[in-house]
Amino acid sequence: MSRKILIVDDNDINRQYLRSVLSDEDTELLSASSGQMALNLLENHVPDIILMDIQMPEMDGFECLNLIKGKHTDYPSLVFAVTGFSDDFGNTSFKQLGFDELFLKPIKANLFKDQIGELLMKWRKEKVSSNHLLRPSDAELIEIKMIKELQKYASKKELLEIYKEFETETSIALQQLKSHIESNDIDKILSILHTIKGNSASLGLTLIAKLSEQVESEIKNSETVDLENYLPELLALFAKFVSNYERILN
Amino acid sequence: MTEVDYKNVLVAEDSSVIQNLLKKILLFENCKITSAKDGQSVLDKYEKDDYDLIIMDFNLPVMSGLEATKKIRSIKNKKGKVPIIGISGNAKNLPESTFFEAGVNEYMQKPLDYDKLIELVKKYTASAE
Repeated sequence: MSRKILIVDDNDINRQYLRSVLSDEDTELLSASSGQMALNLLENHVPDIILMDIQMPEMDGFECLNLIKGKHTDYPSLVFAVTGFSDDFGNTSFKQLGFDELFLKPIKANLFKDQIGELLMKWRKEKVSSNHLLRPSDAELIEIKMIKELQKYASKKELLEIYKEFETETSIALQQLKSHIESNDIDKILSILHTIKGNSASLGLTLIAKLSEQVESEIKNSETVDLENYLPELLALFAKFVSNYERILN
Repeated sequence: MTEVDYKNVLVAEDSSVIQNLLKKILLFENCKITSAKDGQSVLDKYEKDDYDLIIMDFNLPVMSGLEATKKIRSIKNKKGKVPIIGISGNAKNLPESTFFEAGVNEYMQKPLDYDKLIELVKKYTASAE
């Protein structure tokens, strides 16, 4: 599952251990050795998961979490506390303090990996059902695996150009889609959705690809699709992509 | 410096996003890419020059990639035997056999697996040495 994970821990060995446990082709890992560094990273990244050590000098995990939540009230990341001391939390539950889960060290590699995978999957499902998709994480907007794949062939500048071209081409296509919906030209609507689906999937823009595919198949299966409803959703997703892709690719 | 021996590849794809993406990727394989954005211009360009390989999207305007593939295969000389890699999002849900019956050597579904594509490009341009 495409995901970006921020590891916050002042201990080098702990960070390296978590990196080695979590590293795979679908995952982009960010590391911060202090709470302040984590806050700085979050200026430019929207991860799916933040793994927060509790006992750190200067700023501890509680304070860091409070600052994150204070700044971004609807921050779309899961925040897990990772600590060696179960009594860090006293009688207060980690949930009351704002964490989504508590993991006690020592971390068992495979179990940990499975558990955070399950929690993320559950979280994504909840986001879809509560229509939270309008606040996607970076890894939801652009598949991590696809970025890594394309980086093999294109420099950062070239990569930006490719996505920029998608932006230009798709803006025009969405304008055309709008007028085809008004004139109810089903063949042209299908053709545009099909192109958007193929292009967005080829660039790892899974949310846009999935929505286009869903509309495409619903039109094919029945003639009574409420396109007036889908179009704003597609436009909103596209707008999310447009306002975030340069930051994500940089 | 000796001249680099490049392969002539015709990429038939109506989206400039995919065109440019493939250009970037195939550059590494010493391919010289010529673009065609509809089925008719594929045929026009194909008649004019020699190509080592065609990468053909099926969903093309004016004349579909499937139609263009059939026309190329109907040419009864060496030129008609050029390797063709078909790519498609398969909008019409056609069975894969349709593409092979039209004459493609390989078929890839979108979204493209770029590593696999390169593997195929290597396979089909190597024999053209």
